[in-house]
Amino acid sequence: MTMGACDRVRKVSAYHDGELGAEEARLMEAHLAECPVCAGELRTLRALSGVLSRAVPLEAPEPVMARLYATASDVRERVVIRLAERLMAAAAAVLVACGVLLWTSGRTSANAELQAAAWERAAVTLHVEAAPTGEDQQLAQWIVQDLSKETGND
Amino acid sequence: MDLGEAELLRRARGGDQAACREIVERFGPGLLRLARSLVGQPADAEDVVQETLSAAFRTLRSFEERASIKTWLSRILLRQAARSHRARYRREAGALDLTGQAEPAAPAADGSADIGIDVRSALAELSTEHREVLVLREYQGLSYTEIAEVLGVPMGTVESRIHRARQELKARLRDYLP
Repeated sequence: MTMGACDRVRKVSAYHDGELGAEEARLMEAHLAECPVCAGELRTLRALSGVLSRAVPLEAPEPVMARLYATASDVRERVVIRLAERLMAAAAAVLVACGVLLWTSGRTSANAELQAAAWERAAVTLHVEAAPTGEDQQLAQWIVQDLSKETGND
Repeated sequence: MDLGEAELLRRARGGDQAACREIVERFGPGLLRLARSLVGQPADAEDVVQETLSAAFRTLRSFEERASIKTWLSRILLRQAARSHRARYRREAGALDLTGQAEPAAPAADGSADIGIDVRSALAELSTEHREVLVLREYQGLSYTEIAEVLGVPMGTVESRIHRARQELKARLRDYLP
């Protein structure tokens, strides 16, 4: 006897996989009770899944798992080592930058001391050592002029 | 170790060896089964899984956790399996053999060796699109939503392809079916 077609047979696969919503599954179950085409399709799909399952073993052999564990260990070690190398390179770059900063700030401080000495000397001696040619000498001139006004020594 | 996926990933990213082993333990057997269904030779299937896990651990930081670990690994494995096919094709100069018949199996009392060969042969005769959806469902147990995510296709396409793949397999494996 040849089974007729049913337009709902395409949904039997989704029902077999548990992919129908609750209401749709309930309606399918009611339909399966009355439709030999769809009921036969469901039986075949269940048998097919069983055949597919038997054909490919579920368990993984121990030597294969050991190889996979070794792969994970090896890869993670290499990733961690690469990360450590990058961090060390970054730390070295920071140290070099700090060293450069310290060296250049030291030179600036030395120049500042020389500048301070010039106006300090002018403030103490009320005498500008040289004609004001730059900011430092100009400042010394002003300080001398101010201090002279205060002491009445213009 | 009984960790949720988020914590497992966090530890593995930090280089925790125990977490990495846990990932292999949880997902390795399923990946191997999936690879065996896609790639004919057992040795090639093991290579595919090893390459999958290697790629996964190297790129752990880029995994955005929008999908499950299983879905993510399945996606990587499909790419590795495709590469394995192409490599095998080049090696065999066009004679791509996915039937596993190059590895003759001793007939078992329950015929399990025959069924394995026949199933792999039938799967190999499916189109790539049909084979992938079917093995992801049957051997990885992924939902239609997860399969759609792995393959980057709509869920309706997954449902349609699985239905058609099963109709083809029914015809090719009818000797094993009631």
